[in-house]
Order: sequence, then structure tokens, then C-alpha cells
Amino acid sequence: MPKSYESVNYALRPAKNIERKMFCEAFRRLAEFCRVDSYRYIGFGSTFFSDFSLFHKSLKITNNVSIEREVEDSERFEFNLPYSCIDLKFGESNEILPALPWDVRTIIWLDYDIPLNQNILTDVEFVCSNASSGSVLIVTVDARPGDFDGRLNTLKQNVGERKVPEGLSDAKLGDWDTANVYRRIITNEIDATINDRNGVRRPGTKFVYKQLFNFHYADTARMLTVGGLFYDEGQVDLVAKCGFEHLDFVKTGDKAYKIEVPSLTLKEIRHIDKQLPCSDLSQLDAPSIPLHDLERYARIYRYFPTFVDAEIG
Amino acid sequence: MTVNENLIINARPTKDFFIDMLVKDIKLTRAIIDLVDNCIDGAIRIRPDRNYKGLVVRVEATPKRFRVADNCGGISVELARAYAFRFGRPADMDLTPHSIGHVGVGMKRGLFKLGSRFRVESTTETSHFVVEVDVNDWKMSEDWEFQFKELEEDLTVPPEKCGSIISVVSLHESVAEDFGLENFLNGLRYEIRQAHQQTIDKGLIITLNGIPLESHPMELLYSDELRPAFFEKEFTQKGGSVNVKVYAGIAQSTPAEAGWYIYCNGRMIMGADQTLTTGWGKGDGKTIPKYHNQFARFRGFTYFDSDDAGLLPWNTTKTGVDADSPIFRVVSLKMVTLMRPVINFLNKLDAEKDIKTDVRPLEKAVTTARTASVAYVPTSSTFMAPTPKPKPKLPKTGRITYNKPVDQIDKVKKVLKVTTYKEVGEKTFDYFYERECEE
Repeated sequence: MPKSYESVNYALRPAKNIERKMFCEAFRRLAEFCRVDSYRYIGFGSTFFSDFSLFHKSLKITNNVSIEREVEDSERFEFNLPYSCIDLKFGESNEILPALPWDVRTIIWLDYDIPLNQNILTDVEFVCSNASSGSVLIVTVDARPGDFDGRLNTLKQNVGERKVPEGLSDAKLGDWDTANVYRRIITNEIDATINDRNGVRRPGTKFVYKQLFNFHYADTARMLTVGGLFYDEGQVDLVAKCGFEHLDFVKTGDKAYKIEVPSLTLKEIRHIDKQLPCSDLSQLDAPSIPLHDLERYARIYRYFPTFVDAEIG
Repeated sequence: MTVNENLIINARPTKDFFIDMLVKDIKLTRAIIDLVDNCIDGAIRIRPDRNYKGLVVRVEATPKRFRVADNCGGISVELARAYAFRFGRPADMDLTPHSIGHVGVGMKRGLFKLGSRFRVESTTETSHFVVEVDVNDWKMSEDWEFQFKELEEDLTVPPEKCGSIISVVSLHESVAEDFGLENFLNGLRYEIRQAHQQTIDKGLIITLNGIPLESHPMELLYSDELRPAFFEKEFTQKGGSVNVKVYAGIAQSTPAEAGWYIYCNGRMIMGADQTLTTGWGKGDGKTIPKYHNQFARFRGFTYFDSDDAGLLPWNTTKTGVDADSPIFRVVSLKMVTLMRPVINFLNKLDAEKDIKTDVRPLEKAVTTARTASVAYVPTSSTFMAPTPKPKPKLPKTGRITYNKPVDQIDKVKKVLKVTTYKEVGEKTFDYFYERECEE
């Protein structure tokens, strides 16, 4: 299997870059539960560790675990570690996750670049079985529909027939519908596991999953990111205080937030930035830039990456 | 208000249901173990500290009669009146903390399963009674009551004389036949020993036809670098709490003994389970693979313990778990989490066999580990084991094939003093490489 870090520079994918920064802004609001720098972050750092760098620099998270399956290239991963506070664990996530301690509040981002499958659902189950209140789980998967005839069969093979919702067909898995179905299957897995955990918990202390993220974006392939917060019912006031709903990219239902990246030059960006924020975009001075690109840009300008060609070092 | 008779539907149970139908749900050996359970409940009542030294349960099974006698405190007259002979446990009944009888069906079902005439005699520190029942007579009568044949109260009896004797004669034909078979008795011996392992460990003596059952405590392997996983939690539920302990680790490679063992109040209700109930094959085999003999070293032990036996996840025959019970559902998530690293280790241990090397750190770790009984084994919060030797990184190779005239090849063979074409190719390549490519 090709290794995606050998073909894609993660730092250069704009939608992913924006998504990461949005997470960062959302995570900051977890401070109502406890100090954000006391959280553990678990991710798949690959060779770029972009997520680890950002969360360490912005949130001061020092308890980090990066899971990496390509044990043969271990020297390369160790070489690329950006900070000393990242613990590299080599192996499959299915193997590593159950072997970690779980009494720490955790942010975990299972950032896959493959379609949803049973192994991923197993990871989701392990996290939901063990995560403590205040923890955040995020899952990213490749949500391309695949060849027209055989989408449904492939889905059944990948996740197991019993997990596929009723009433689907190849035609109903086109465009972003595969992403929508993936979100439903992942959410079902979370709900079922939480339900098993809750049987013995008294009313008022039940475990709750609140979805916060439902991103659709396509740097190249269509990708789905879904995730949210686990908390004890008794802490519902804390969740309210976090005020996640004030972030417009937070989506708690089946409607996704689309991260759309307009193609603008650096000069245009500087020119528009000077006029933002602005309540009436049609009044912006923006030479010949289509209004829908301005709207897209205005939604995400605070997270917008600017890449320049630079030789550093 | 008068009730229109036409609207009434008769749902009263028939005696046949209890005598002939209910008994079909349970194996003969299990029915006998249910009767032993009653004795052990007595032991739990009189020895809350769970030191059972000096207590004996004697089981006798011959083609002529069945008998189980104990010195475990006896059944009080009140208990006999209110509970022991009733079908089903009354809701307001006081509980024996940590008891193993909880449904109120075991003793009666056991007696009906065995034969058609039974006698229950019991002596406590203050009372003595005898109940004798001819099941066929009882079936004919309208009443649901049994009667005391002898009844004495306000006695003073020394503790060592307290106990009960249950005997059954006029055994059913198939039961009498089974009791004449050595194989059956061996199986019964094995099952009683498994079910009451923990109680035997704590000093209670159980004999079958005069021979005491030996204790074989469950064991796990451990060393400085190898530790079973252990999890413990008190689950508070409506009406009480359940203490749960889970161990997952490895032991001797024995396929028939591999799997999960589940205990409720010390009584084993599932042994060496290798089914989906305990997680095997979960997630289409991705979460946990289906059982396979390469996992023959796996052992998991889950102990549920509660003052209120009704909170424990067992079925009425005590031969399995109630997999839908809330407590089992949450604990099974934990079992799967603790089990997964053990499975990974056993996979790696298996893979190590295929590597051509003399250094096998995993095998060495297992063969040099010590054993300890589950209760005393040193543990860790997750399964701890050494990591395998990293695979040697071999340079990538390619394959070269070409044709050359045979007489030329034969000449080269002679010069190189080799016999095969392969060697000719390799040696000539090396010759060129050494002179033209190496620095």
C-alpha cells in the first residue's frame, strides 16, 4: 500500500490546514472541563506531525501519543519528531489503543486516509468504551463514493452487512452521500457503545456523546470528519459554558459544514483582509472576485493558510 | 365490583409444568450442582468471613439413591416456610449476602429432575424439621403446599450438628443409569470442582461418593516483564452494588482450557468460553479474532460479586451469563479492551516461530515465566509483555534472468567451480560489481 506521507505534504493541504485550526479553536473551549494543557492528545502524526505541532504550540499540550504503523521507517519518524513531548508508538491503532491508559482526559483524532472499515469502527469502539468524561473523539475518513456499480457491496464488505443502514443503493451513495452514510455508521457505533456503558449508570450520571464536528472538504479526495465530546450528564452545565455553538463551524446534526477554499492570490488576500470583518460582503472592494468566493473566504479567513515558497535554514 | 366470568382467562401454573417441563432446561450435572449451591449458601450464611475450614458437603450418587449432606448451618424453619420450598423467590425475602441461590427454583427443580420421592431434613441451632414428598401423590392433589413431617423449634443444638440432608429415592430411570456410569461421575466431579473452585480454595470440602474433590486453582503466568491485565470497579446499581474484577493474561497452552471464565459470587457460571458472548469474533473478527488454537494460552477471569445475588448477570441454570444485563454489557467492553493486547501478543508469539533466528524473546519470556494463582498474581492495568525483536531490514532485491549459449555457461561453470546456473549468474554479477561499482 502506498504511504500517503510519501505522496502528500500534509502541511500544504489548505482545507485540512483550516480544519486543524478550527479544532484548535474548539479545543480551547474545553477549559471549562479542566486546563486544556492537561489533556492528552492522540493522533497519527505521520512524518509531518502538523497536528501535534499546532496543538503543542497553541494549546501547550505536552502529553502526546502518535500512533504509526510503518515500523520499518521508524528512524525517519523519530528524526521528524518536532518536539520532545511526543511519544511514538509503532503498531496498528487497534493494537495500541487498548494498551494505553484511559483515565486521562483525551483528545483523539483518528485521521485516516482510507474509506471507513471495520478496523476503524473497532478503534471508535475502543475509544468509546474507555474515554473519560470531557474527552473528544474525532474520526476522518476518505469518503469518495467509488465506482458506481458496487458502492453498496463495497460498503457492506468494508463495515459488515449488519452495520449498513437500510434502504441504501449505489445511487444513494453518490456525491457526498457516502460521507453522510459514513457519519451515520460511525455515530451508530458510538451510540451503541455508550449505551452499553450506560446500563449501569444511574439516571443523571449517564454518559453522553455530543457531536461537534461534521466537516466535508476535498483538498483532492472527498473527506469526512466527524467527532464530538463525551461527558457525564451531570456536567451538562459545563458543556453549555463551553459555548461550542458560538463557533459557526460546529455542527451537532447531520448537516455538514463544508470547508471550501477559494483560490485567491496573496495580494488579493491582503487587500480583502484589510476590510474584514464586514457585515455586507457585496460592499467589499475586491476587483472581479466572484461574490461566492468572497463569502467562502469571509467564513474562513481567520484560519486561512498562506503558502509562500521559501528556503528555510 | 363483580367480574364477568366470561372475561377471565386461566393463567395459573400447573404442577406438571414444574415437575416435567422446567427440568428439561437443565442438565443433570447442573441440577446436582444447584443442590450443592444450597449447601454453599448455608456456608456463606454462617461464615461471613468466607473461611470455610471444617465445613463439608458430601454428595452421594448411586443408582439406588442420591444424597447431599452438609454441616453448613442448616435451613431454618422460617426459611423453609417462606422460601426454600416455594417456586420463585418472594420479592420481600431477606437476602443472604453474596449468596448463589437467587431465583428460587434450583432446589425444587433439582429434586424433580432426580426422582419421584425426596426427603429434606435440616437442623439449625434452634430448630429441626423433616419434609418428605412423594411427587406422584403431590401431583394428584389440588394443594400446592408441602407438609413438615417433623417439626421442632426452640431447641439448642451445637453448631457442629447443624446442617441438612437432602435425599432422593425412586430415581428416574435415566438418572439411575447415569449414576451407574463412571464417565458420568467423572464428568460430575469435574463440573462441581470447576463451579466451586473458589469455595474449595477457601477450605470447604466437597466429596463425591466419599472422595474429596481436589482444588486446582486457576493460574496465570507472570514475570518482571510479563504481567496480566487487571481491572476492578464497584458498580452501583438500583438496590445495591456489584464488585467486578477482570483479569486477562496467559497460561499454559491448552486449547480446551483457553478462554474466559466467569464467576458470580464465587460460583463459576462459564468456563473456557470461546464464543462471541465473551468477545471472540467481535466486529467480524476485527475487534477480536475468532478463537483459534494459537490463542490456546489465553485466559481471562471475570468475577462478579454482590450482596444481592439478583444483581449478578447469571441465567437461571447458572450455566451462562445473561448477556443482555446492563452490568455484563459494560463489563464485556472492558473485557474486550483488556483482552486485545493479549491477543496481539499471542499473534506476535506465533509469528516469531516463523522467523529464522535463535533469538526469540517472546518465547523466552513465556517459557521462563512463573505461575501464580489468579488471586495472587502480580498485575498491571494493561497486559504487559516484551516486544518482539524488530525484523532485520533486508535490502530490496530484484531478479535478473537472461539466456546465454550453453557451451559458454559450461566454461564459466568450470572457471568458477560451481554447478548451477544460478550460481553462475550470482558469481559473475558479484565479479563485475566488485570491480566496477564498489568504491
